[in-house]
Amino acid sequence: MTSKNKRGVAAAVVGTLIASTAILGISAQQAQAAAAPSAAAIAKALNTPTNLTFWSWLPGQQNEVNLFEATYPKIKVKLVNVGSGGTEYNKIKAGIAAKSGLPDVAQIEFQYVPTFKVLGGLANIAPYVPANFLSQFPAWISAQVTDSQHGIYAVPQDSGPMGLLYRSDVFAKNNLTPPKTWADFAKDAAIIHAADPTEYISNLVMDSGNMNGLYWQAGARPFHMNSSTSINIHLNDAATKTVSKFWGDLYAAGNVPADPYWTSDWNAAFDKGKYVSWPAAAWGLATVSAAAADTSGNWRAAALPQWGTGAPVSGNWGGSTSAVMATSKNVIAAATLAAFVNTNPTAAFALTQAPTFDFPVTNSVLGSAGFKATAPAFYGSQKVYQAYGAYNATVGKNYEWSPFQDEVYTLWTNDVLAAILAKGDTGAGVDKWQADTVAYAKKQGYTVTTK
Amino acid sequence: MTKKSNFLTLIMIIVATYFVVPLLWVITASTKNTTDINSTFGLWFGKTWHLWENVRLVFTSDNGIYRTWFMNSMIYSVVGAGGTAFLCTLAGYGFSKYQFTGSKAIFRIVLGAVMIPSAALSIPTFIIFSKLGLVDTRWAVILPSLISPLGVYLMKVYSDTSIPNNMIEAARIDGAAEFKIFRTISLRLLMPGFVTVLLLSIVGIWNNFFLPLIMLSSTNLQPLTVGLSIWYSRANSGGSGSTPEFQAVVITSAAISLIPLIIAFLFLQRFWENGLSLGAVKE
Amino acid sequence: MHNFLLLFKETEMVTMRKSGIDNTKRTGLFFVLPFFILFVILLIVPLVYSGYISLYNKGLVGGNRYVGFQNYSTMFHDPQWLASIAHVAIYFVIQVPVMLLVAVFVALAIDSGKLRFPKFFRIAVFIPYAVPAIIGTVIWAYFYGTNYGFLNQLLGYIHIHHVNFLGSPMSAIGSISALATWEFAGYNMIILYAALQGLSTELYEAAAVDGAGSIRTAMRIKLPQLYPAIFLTLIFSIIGSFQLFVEPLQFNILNPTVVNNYFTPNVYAYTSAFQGNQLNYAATISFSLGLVIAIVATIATLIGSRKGEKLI
Repeated sequence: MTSKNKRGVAAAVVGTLIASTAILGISAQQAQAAAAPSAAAIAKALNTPTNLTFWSWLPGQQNEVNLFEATYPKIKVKLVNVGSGGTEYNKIKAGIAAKSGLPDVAQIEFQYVPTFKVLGGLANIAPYVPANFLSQFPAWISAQVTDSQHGIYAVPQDSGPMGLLYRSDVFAKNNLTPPKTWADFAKDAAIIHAADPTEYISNLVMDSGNMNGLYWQAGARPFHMNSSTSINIHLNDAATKTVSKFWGDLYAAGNVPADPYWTSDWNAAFDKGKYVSWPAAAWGLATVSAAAADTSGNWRAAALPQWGTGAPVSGNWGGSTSAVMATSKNVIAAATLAAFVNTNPTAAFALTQAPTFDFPVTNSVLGSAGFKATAPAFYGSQKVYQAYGAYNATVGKNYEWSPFQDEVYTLWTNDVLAAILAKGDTGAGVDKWQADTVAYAKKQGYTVTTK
Repeated sequence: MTKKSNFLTLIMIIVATYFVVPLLWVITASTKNTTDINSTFGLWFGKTWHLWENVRLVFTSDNGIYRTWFMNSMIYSVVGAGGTAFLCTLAGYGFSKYQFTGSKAIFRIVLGAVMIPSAALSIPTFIIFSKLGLVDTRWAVILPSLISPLGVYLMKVYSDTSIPNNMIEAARIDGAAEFKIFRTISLRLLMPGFVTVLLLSIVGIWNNFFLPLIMLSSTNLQPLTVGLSIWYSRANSGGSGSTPEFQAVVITSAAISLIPLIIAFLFLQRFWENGLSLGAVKE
Repeated sequence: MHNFLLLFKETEMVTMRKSGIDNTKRTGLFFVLPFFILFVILLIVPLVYSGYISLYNKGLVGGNRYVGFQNYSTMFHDPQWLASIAHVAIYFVIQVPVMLLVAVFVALAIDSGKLRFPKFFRIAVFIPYAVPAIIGTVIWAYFYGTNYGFLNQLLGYIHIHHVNFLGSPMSAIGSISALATWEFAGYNMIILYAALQGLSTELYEAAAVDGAGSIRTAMRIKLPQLYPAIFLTLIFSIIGSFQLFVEPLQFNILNPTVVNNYFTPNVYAYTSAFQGNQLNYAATISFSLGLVIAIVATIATLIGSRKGEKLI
């Protein structure tokens, strides 16, 4: 911790900066990042003894950190797991409010990057990385970490392209093949449950991120920032209503149960064969293999069922980044750490192996032969990563997150999911979701358009 | 000797079962792996004996952080409780034996403070502490646990009833200074109450969750409650890195964490009753 | 020489006694001061700060604005806040009487002398108090699992399957009540038992001579004298039950649509602050919750005072 004197001076400087730039509506990041340091300055910073703190809940993250420390021996990294997802985000929000207690680098999922950017919590690291840094990622990935001024606010780590994990033995038992369309999915649901009342084609999609990925697949593009103070919100489009009604009908017909995700019950259900498929992200491969040891060898991956008849489309669920905090005193070193653990070839490949099993985001790893050849026994030696690599290429483009995504998800649970569970009017639920989100955005001071 | 009632004993066995069963469950669950937890009978053992493996995992996971969490809970409890008991004894004695201006009003304010929801204070306290640079330090947890309005109330009542005023007067006449009176006479009489507040505080601080949750980011400063909640959400939560087989470790770590307080309870029962009785029965 | 020393001592004592009166008052302050300073810094200041924040609104856009009592007005018309208050009120009415009933029964039973192994029962009922709420909640979460939870496992033996203990607000309140009773009945029982130990035994002997059985002794003699202690536990329970937080927060994972982000006022404040980025509204809820608790507790104290008990 810095001495009181240093902190006082720093606070005064930052305070003046923020005060003077706030009036003009320019974010503090951009004001500070006006001058990019020279290559010599960067090299010097990396050769200075530095201590960095890195918050991450990724199992096996220490492996990449070790590689980094070996490459930059003067930089020591303290890796801390302060909790996953919301637990860590609450700490970051508290730290932003108090302006202290934050790490140099933190793991942040894609859907929350705009949230922390708008709170002024993320540093723009564009000046500290190579000019074409973002070109190593698929366009729809890099779009989520940059803005119209080409700033870079996070380094993509993994993504969650969606496919359908299913029990090939159960499908075969019912003389079915993995459904190509959602209409087929609904038909198969009825057949499977009628044949064996303890089996369901899948659980109701009760997780907001899971359902959001399906909305994404169906073509929903609910958010767009018109400017830093104006947002376009269109949650209640036809695609969202169609998908919501689809699952509402499935639940009302009794063909899917409604078990909350991420509980011991839910995990056990995979193991006991209650769920026969799951429209899951690539990281779901690890989840199912960990939860359902008794069904090993019977699971396969297929593309998500489709809505239309054209080229196949997929959605995305989750995926994390490593972001440098705006309060970091060692931005150059922190930016290098964030970039290294995710894009250094050895590190990036390590992320896809045990115990992490991340789905990669760098084009080089995605295309590597070793990665594509992975064929776990749990999935009957199917080349599952190659399969998901294909779905990854079909993820719908141009998706934008809101700057208050956790509130959006909470409202989804209270408005849409509640309507599904009440076997009520899902269309009205989606409309309410739109209305509540618009009201919230206005309360936060945004001007809202609803095209 | 009153005649024993078997009927009453039977009813009490049913009542006691309610309180004991969850703890029995934790013990038997600690001996199983996750699959067995979900499939075998809750109050009996599983297909395989996993206890030693679970215990080993508890103490080795995350580089043995469990030991650090355990030590932290002990440090916070002992230091915090010792400090609280001392401050409460001083304050309770002060309110009881001295009538200075405003003492009644201040005491009423202190008593009213018992009703303030501590969860409401945690966030503003966090902001204040971070301005003072205390966030993510041990003081962030110890300082707030040093104030116990309830402890002050208990010590005042105890002081009222256990220290006769004429004893103090006699000492004063003999020429003793106030602090000397307190040190040599009053403190000895206040000991049982002191121990009660000490024990109440140890339990309260050991069980504290919300305050350390928002004050401490570094895992090597966190107490058991926060650590276990992190492990629990890791065992259940999604995203990359969910590990359902970790559940058995979570349950075993919960079971182990109960041992210190239960031992303390078993050995120190007597003090509870003596101290609490004087707070409960009004003059 | 001896006389001189005596005179000196007398003078000293006189001077001491004179300044003793002022000294006593000042010394009293010194005894209280260490506690009081921390009390002000750690309790009063944050409380006032919380009230201060509740008068402002800081959004993601537009910075900090003074809005007076607008947050309070919003809160009183907020159906989610009203629901949260309703939940804790119902919870209070259900959980507290049941828990106190159990505590009183167990305390009287152990004190009656007619129980075999009283020490065992006393410690068995008290032990759950040693379990932190977060851990107790984790354990009971495994109990309440709809498909493979322990309770459903037991019910399965009598052919009742897949009971959803958290399936509706009322059943969730009931399930949390069961957990809270398990956690705190022992604590209250010990308070009551200690009070019973302090009662004089003469009355019992007189009653026994008159031929009163142990049940009548318990009801007519012990119980009325327990009222002050029961009252104390009631006040604690009022304060505790309205602040319900840790249990619903953890159970949210088990059923997010029922045990939702506004299930109790404390949960609502916490999620508003962090997930909803509404620190000011959270302060409003917390601050007014403190007021609600103070009012209810004061009313209860006044009712209690009318029965002739003074607490201060």
